This record gives sequence, C-alpha cells and structure tokens, in this order.
Amino acid sequence: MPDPTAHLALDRLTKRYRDGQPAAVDDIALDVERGSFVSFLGPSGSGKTTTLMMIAGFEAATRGRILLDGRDIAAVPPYRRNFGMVFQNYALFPHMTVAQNVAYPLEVRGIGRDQTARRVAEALDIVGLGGFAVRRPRELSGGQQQRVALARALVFEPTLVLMDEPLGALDKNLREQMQIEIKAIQRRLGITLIYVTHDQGEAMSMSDRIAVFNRGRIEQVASPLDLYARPATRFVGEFVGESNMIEAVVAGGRIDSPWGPLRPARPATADGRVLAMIRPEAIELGAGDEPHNRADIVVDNLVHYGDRVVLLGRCGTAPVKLTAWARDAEGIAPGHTAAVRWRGEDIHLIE
Amino acid sequence: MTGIRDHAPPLRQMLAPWALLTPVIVFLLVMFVVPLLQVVRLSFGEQEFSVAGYAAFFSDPFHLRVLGRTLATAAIVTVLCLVLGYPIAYVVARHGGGLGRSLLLIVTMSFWTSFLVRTFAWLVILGNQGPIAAGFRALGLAPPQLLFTTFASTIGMVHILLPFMIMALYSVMLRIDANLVRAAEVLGGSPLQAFARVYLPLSFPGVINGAMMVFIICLGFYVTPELLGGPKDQMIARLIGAQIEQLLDWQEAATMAVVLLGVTLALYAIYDYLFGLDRLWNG
Amino acid sequence: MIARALAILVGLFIIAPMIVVMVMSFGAGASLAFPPADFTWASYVRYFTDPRWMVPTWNSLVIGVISTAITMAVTTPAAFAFALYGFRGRNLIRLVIMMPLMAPAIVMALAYFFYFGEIGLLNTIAGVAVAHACIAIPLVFLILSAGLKSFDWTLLRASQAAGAGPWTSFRRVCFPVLRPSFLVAALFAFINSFDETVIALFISGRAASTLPRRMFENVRQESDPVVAVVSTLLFLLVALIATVAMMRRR
Repeated sequence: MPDPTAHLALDRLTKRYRDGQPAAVDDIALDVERGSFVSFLGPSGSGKTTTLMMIAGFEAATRGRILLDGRDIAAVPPYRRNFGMVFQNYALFPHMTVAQNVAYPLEVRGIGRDQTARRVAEALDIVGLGGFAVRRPRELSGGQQQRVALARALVFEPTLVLMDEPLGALDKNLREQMQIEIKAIQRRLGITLIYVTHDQGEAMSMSDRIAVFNRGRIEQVASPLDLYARPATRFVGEFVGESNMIEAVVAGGRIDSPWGPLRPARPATADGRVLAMIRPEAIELGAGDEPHNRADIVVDNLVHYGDRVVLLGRCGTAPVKLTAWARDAEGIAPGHTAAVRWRGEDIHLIE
Repeated sequence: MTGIRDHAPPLRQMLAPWALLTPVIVFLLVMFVVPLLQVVRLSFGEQEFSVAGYAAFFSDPFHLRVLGRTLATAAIVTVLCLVLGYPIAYVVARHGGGLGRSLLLIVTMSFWTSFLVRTFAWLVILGNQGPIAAGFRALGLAPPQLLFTTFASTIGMVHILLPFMIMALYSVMLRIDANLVRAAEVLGGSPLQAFARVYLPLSFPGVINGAMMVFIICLGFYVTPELLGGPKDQMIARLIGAQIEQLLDWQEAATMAVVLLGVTLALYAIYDYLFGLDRLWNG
Repeated sequence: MIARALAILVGLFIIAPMIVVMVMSFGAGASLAFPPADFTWASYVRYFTDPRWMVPTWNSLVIGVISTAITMAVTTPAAFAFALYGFRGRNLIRLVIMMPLMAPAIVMALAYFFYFGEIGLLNTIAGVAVAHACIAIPLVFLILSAGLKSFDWTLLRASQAAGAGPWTSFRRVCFPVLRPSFLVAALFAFINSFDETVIALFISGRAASTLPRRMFENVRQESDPVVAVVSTLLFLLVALIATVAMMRRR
C-alpha cells in the first residue's frame, strides 16, 4: 500500500505497449518522500524513463496509479501537473533567448512582466548564468544549456522536479561539477527530485535513495550505502560497483563453494543455493590462519584495469574469476598461486 | 525511442488525420485526376469507345519515328549530362572549399533559372549574330547553321538538365564516407583504382536517380526542342503541342499524351520495383 | 586533379550562357546580335513602360501568389498528418500527392485545355492559378515533410511540462521554429509558378497571359532584346536568393 504521507507514490504502476508483449513497466511500487533526491537507476530499456514519462503525464499508464500527496493524477494533463522537467537533450526553444526560455513557464501562467523579470533573474542566478539573459541557446555550451534548462524548470517554484539523464552529453569533469551543483540546489530549495540515470556513480553520489530498475521492475529501493553493502539481487550487486559473485550451496549450517568453505558473519537463513558477494576491497593477500574464508588460486591470466585487477584462474579444479584492487594484488603474475582471504563480515548473501 | 506520434498533444490526437488529408485529396482528385482521366477517355474515341486512335498511332511510321527519336534523344542527353555532371558533383561533394562552394552556387542558380530563360540564352549564343558565329567569321570562315538543328536542341537540353543530374549525384556523393576511399588507398590501391572500385560503385544510386530524372524530363520536354530544334527534330511533346495549337485533332493528341504518360509511368514503376520510389524523393 | 579541371570547364559551360544574356540585355536593336551594337538601358526602360510586358508580369505575380496560397493551404495540413500520425494507406496517399510531379507538363496542358474549357476556367487567371497550385503540391509537401522530420518534438513536451497547453505550445513553439520551412516551401512554389511555361502557354490565353508565355511568343516571332532584359532580371533575382541562402547556411 502506498504511503499516505509520501509526496509522490507509484501504486502497482504498469505500462504495456501491446497486448502479449512484455510490459515496459511491470507493476512497480515506490514512495518518494518530500524533499528527497531519488534516482531511477538502470540500463537502457529497463523502464526508468518510461516511468518518468508516466509521472510527467506524457505516457498513460496501462494499470496502476500515480498519487501526488495522496491524489491520483492520472486525469491531469502534463501541462497542469506543475512539475519541473529537464530533458536529456535540454529542449531549449531555439527561437527564444535564454531569458525568454526561462520566462516561458511564468508567461503561460499569466504572471506579470515585472515579476517575471525578477524571478527569471533569480533563477539564472541560482544556476550561475546571471549575465546570459540575452544569449541564444545555440551560442551556449552544453553545460550552459543544461543550466538554462534547469533554471526554466525551477523558475515557477515547483515542488517536484523530474530529470531525464540530463548530464549524459557532458564530459566527465563538467558532469561531476554539475552533479554537485544540482545536489546543492535541490538541498537549498528543498524540492523533491526524481533523477533518471544509467550511471551508477552518478546515482550513488547524489541520491538519498536509489530505485534500481531492471526489465520493467524495481529490484531494490535503498540508500546508496545499503545498496552497495547489501544488494537484494544479483543484478543489483553487479550493476552497482564491482563485485565477486560466488555461487554456493548451504547445507546443514555449512556453506560450500568453488572457492572453498565460506563462513559469513550473518549466517544463511535456509538451505539451498545461494549467491555470496564479496566486494573487491575486501580481498586481502595472504593465507591467514583460518581454514574458511580463504582461497588458493592458480593464476592463468591477469587483466589490469588501472585501479583494479581481474585474476582468471582455478581453485582446485573449478574455474574462478576474482576482482581485487590493484594494490592488493601487487606481485601476482600468471603461473603463481595467489593466496587470498577475506573477513566474514564482508560476505553478503543473496538468497 | 517513442515515435513522434506520441508527442502530438491530446487535442490534436482527437482530430483524425483524415480531416487534415481531405483538402489535398479532394483538390487533387477534382483538379488533377479527373482532367487526366478525361484525356485517357478521349484517347479512346470522342464519341464511342474505340482503340482506333492507338492502332493508327502505332501503325504510322512517322509517329513511331517520333517516339523513337524522343527516346533516343532522351538517352543521349542523359548520357551527356552524366559525363559532364559527374566531375562537378564529385568536386563539390569531396573537396568543398572555395571552388566547391562557387560551383555549387553556380549550379543552384542555374537550377532555379527557368527553362525558357536558359533556352533563350542558347538562341542568342548559337544564332547567326551570336558569339560563336562571330568567332567563325573572325577566323574567316562562314558560320554554319547552328540554330534549329538537332545539335542546338540537344545542347540546350543538356545545359538545362545538367543541374538536375548534378544535384542528384551530389546528394548521394555527400553521404559517401570519405574514409572508405582512404581505406582503399591505404590497402594498396592507386587513387584511380580506389575511385573505380570503391567510390564509383557507391555513387551509383545517385547516377540512377539523376539518369531517371533527366531521362523522364527529357521525354516530355517541350520548350527547348520547340525553340531550338528544327522541323526534323520532332519530339513527342512538340507533336502534342502542335495538335493543341493548330491541328486540333483531339483524339490524336490525347492518344499521344497517353502514350507519353504511359512510358513515363512505366519508367517510374520500374524504378519503384527495383529501388522503391521513396529513394527518389528522399535521396 | 583532372576532376577539378573538368569541373571548372563544366562550370563555365553552365554559367556562360547567362553572362551572354546579361550582356544582351543592354542592346537596343530588334535583333539578337551579340555583342550588341549599343550599350544602353533602353530595353530596360521599354520593359517597364510597355503594357504588353507589364500586364503579363502582373498576371504572373498574381497567379504566383494565388497558386502559392492554395498550395500551402491544402498541403500544410497533409504534411502534418503524415508527421504526427500513423494511418493505413500512407503509401497510397503519398503516391497520390506526388503524382503531379510525375505527369509531363505537356500532358497536363492538354488535360487542362479540355477540362478548363468545359468548366469555364480556360484563359482565366483562376484557371492558371489552379493548375500551378496542383503541380506545386508535391514540391511543397516534400519541403514541409523534411522540415517536420527534423523538428525536435521534445520541444513540445518541454513546453507542456512548463505549463503551456497544446494549442499554446503549437502556437508559441511549433510554428515559430517551423516558419523557415514554410517560407522556403512558399518561395519555391511561387518561383515554380512564376517560371512555368508549358501549361501557361496553352491555357492562359490572351486574357491571362503570363510572363513566360509572352516571352515564348516573343522569342518565336520577334526576337526582342526585352526578352534578354526579363531573363537578366529573373536570373539576378534567383542569384540573389541563392547567394543569401548559401550565406545563411554558413
């Protein structure tokens, strides 16, 4: 059941384009708290953008409800929903100046000229484009255009803002800078922000909570830290950060795997097949004293990725692929046998 | 990506697209299709239905000669336009720069200058008091009769249709990836080989489009052959024109018109079957 | 490279006739002598003062405007229909719209000669305007369709997200951005009509004689340098438009 105090709630939301085809968005539920920064994270085609478009009103849901402060807004057309929206390609009106672009929402709401001018100036200041009022969109760089789009989305003081992969077209440094600015503006103005992205680093750095989308469903909704340390599914574990996924079997209190016996700090709840996840930073070199939570890997091949290293080899007879931080793997070469270990607290079981 | 169709605002979606299409369909039916159909009907006899007109047309050696000459002339003009137009299109598409832009400007201006104006220009140039005749006289030779000959008619048509060919070639050549020719050369081919085996084949769609357009326009060409050609260079359009103006044999005129229309449509149909008409409009 | 040399040669071949005509326009005598005997503006003066030239010029302008208006009015909704909706029979309808482009002008001349004769539009301005409107439809449709295809439809979404309803969005965002396409299409339709010779030759008659018809008759019968004047003026107009267009493309 949707939380009645939530600012925005999605209740069993489904979008199916054609009968018989798999649903683009499949029966999702989500509560978004007022003033929070929530990211929709997932690969392309996972349904995150479709969901955003349904929230905005540009797509109609096949089933389910979208509740704003408890009220179903399905019947409200997009131009009455009063959400700020920033599009991936900025969608700045090319025939208007920056100021005219930002003034547009106020003009269509019938706000007077003086007030409009004042609020446009304020909005441009917030995004740091104070002197750009008379420029045209085509004269601006990508980052500047994105800020104008942001100013235009904020100028009418909406309480909910939607962003569809707004930083995708910018280079890495500019992106990181914009991430910081967007987060700061969101905090300062106290707006509820829903942010669609496929970049897990971006989602992790900005969000209060992340909804991970996969094939039309939400696999997990959690804070960045929880998502990283305790992923609910294999997909989430592999999508967010690097991981070592070990298929193991639980039987009578013992957990066996191709890497050897595992002794997690939190034991498994039931017997059967289970996935054990160990993050690369938990891998240490050296045999250690315990018979469990360690592995001797005969290394066949090493792939260096700069900050991390992937060891391909065998543990006993089973083929093994281990990701570790490069520093921890110094000195290992093909042909060696690497002895690695990890602590019980660093094992996370996905059942 | 969701189609454009999802972006149409709800109000627009209530209007059926057919409401938007009705004006153009009605207008074309009343003002285009019906007149054409009447011509077809006329060709089958003014009073009753008969194929006598067609029988007469196809059994008359004069008419067949005219038809043949029309087709042959169109073919010659097409080949000439191709040979002359290819280098310009090539230079403009591949090299650009000052030369490319000037050439493009010249071609564009010629393209938009009416047939009549350009035909008149050739009337002047090839005339007895024109620059070519003057050149002959300067060499002490008697200037030959250039006007009202097949030569004049042909050169006029080539000049007029050249921009069409160039534009068709150019628009296809623009899309040829420059790296393909570089790749061919890097792999060991001489520039000539690279051109012949890579660029030329890739430009074929443009060649075909251009040839189609030029050939078809040439088939129905009236103005230039009429003004520059002689009495022996009858092309089918001139015959039809003569019927309307002087001879007033409507059934014969309609018959010839239907034959011309038929050949034209047949060519379009062949093109559509081989390539799809969309390529012609959007290529 | 050889290609360059060939290209330049052909380029000269293309432009030379126009230069000749421009020089011709400064001749005064009633012959097509080149180079002309005198160098005078007399023929220009004659063009602008002789009603036998001015009336057809005016007719052509009027016909151009009317036919362009008809074409734009009829084709614009159709172009939008194709861009905004999927519907059955697209290909057939598109073929119908393109048909005027495929029919040879002389065939249409014959067809309109009869048809307009029956419905009383022969030798009238309205008749010629209607005929020109017809043959411009495919051209205008292609230009508008291209413009609509490159239109960024997310602009409409952005406008709605900003609070503007569908009509307001069309009015304030869609039309202004599409205006250049409309202007280009209208310009092409006008030029197409203004220059059109074959159909006008047979259906405009004395009463509604167009400028090309007048020029055609003149060339066939009299050989007056005024034809060179008109040619030069038309050519300069086209040159101006083409140059402006290329400048703006930069």
